[in-house]
Amino acid sequence: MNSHALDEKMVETLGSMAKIPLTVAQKKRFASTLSTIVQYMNNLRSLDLSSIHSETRPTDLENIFREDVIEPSLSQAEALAHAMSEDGYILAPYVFGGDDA
Amino acid sequence: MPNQTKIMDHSIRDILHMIREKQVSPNELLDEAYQNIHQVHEQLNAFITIQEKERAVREIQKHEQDHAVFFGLPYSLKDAYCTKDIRTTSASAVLQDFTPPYSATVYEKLQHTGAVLVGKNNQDAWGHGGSTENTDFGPTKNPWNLSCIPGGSSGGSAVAISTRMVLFSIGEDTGGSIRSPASMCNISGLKVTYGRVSRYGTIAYASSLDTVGPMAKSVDDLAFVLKEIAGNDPHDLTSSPLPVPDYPTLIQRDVKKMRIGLPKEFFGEGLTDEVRAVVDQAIKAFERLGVEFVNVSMPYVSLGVSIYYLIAPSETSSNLARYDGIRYGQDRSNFTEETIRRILLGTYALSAGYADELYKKAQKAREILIEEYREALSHCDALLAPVTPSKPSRIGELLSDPMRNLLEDLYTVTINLAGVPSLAIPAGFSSDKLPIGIQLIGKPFDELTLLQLGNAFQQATNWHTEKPPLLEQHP
Repeated sequence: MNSHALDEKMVETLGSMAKIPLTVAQKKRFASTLSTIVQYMNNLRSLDLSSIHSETRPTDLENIFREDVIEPSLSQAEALAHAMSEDGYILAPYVFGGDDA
Repeated sequence: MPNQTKIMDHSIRDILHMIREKQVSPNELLDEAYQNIHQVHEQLNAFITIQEKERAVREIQKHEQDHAVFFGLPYSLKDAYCTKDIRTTSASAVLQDFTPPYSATVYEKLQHTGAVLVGKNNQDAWGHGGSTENTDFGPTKNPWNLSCIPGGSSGGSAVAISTRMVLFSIGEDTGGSIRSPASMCNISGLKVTYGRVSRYGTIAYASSLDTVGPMAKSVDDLAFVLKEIAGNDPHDLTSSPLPVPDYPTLIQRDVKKMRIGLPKEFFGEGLTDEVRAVVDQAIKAFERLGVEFVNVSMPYVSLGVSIYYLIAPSETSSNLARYDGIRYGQDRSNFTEETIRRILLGTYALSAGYADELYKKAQKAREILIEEYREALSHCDALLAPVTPSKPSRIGELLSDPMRNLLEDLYTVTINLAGVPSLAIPAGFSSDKLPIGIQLIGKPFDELTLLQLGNAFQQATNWHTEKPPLLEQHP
């Protein structure tokens, strides 16, 4: 893959993957600024790092466990306080059918 | 009119002593903090939420009997920390009405110390930016020049300290967000080792890079705050079980013969003469203290912006996926332009067909960068570098140039990628009297050495005691 064109079509695809609605003007602006940024990143792309085995972890800690006991947590009312809810359930948009289909 | 010394000008060490000896009362301290807020906040916009004074007074009353360590000290939190029953926005319209049902560990710890929360600070939304302009609550202004940026993303915290509205604040640093505003507002700020302070309850930007750290007038103040907030937390599995040193009692140290490395990649193209001159002057001050300097080289630092701006946006595109407007918050159409740009960039870097040559390659380069830091720090006690390539820019300048906006982060982002600690301290001013800082970078979990070096520097210099001219108008 040598063309890294971040054109408006690509920006539209990224927007739909990220579920962010974009206006025509935004698509144009992002295509321009993201292309500049991605072009700058060619300094990284051109390196051969095939011999490096990345195991990057932010700490040296591993296998942190705790006892499998129930600890105090939010009540149902607290958890639903900011949600659209009905009868103790969260109301969400349709996944299939409905207006979003 | 010359600046008068007020209670809020004193160090935390002195104020704690004065309160113990009943020379000042926590209520007097709080009065002064709120008086400063009243006088300068409107011009600066450093807070998103200011606590009602009556509520703050009740906080003091709660701790009157228990000899709490920070009894009565007014402080603030960047608005990235969940505070139960107090609005928490991350400076985004997405969370404009969000009141968390639980509290961040750092907030809980500080509430136990008897410190008094006076407000939640403005920032770049989600930590996305270095200027505190990318906020849905209006930009924060630099108290040294109201038409300039205060740095960011923890800009509101730095401004609140610089103008004596609080004694200390908790910032958050993912790519320079504590150090940049500290440098630009003439205060001290510590980016801790990844894992030194619990991240529980912090609104995440990029989880492998996010750190919670103290900001205050002086390095000595930072030592006091760090001691209270550091340590293991069962709610954050990446928090370290290593013991927390008693920083305030260990901070005094003769720094003679200590060795500081100067990585040449931090002094190359892009560094402005004014910042360079301040750094050179700081090196001389350290030399007068007997510190030895050695040259080091870390070639991958020059790739830092590329590595960081692949990894951080990738992580943020994942972290911000949770804001669906269903369980809490507003929907995704409420993200700002800078945040959308980062989400799109991260989505691109992680998408099939691109991940191998972008995200995964950046992770490999990060591995090399970590090794370079380990190697450089094996020969030195610390490294010294500028914080930003230029002095604070004018409001609006960076927003119109997204690429330059990223390059401004070159000297700070690699430290987060390596996970090591870094202390930013005031070191001088530009010709038009804008603050310029330096940073000292240390070994993992060796915040103490940085605090000792920074403290020695501040005992030999007066930069950190200078106050913004704005305060002179309100003696």
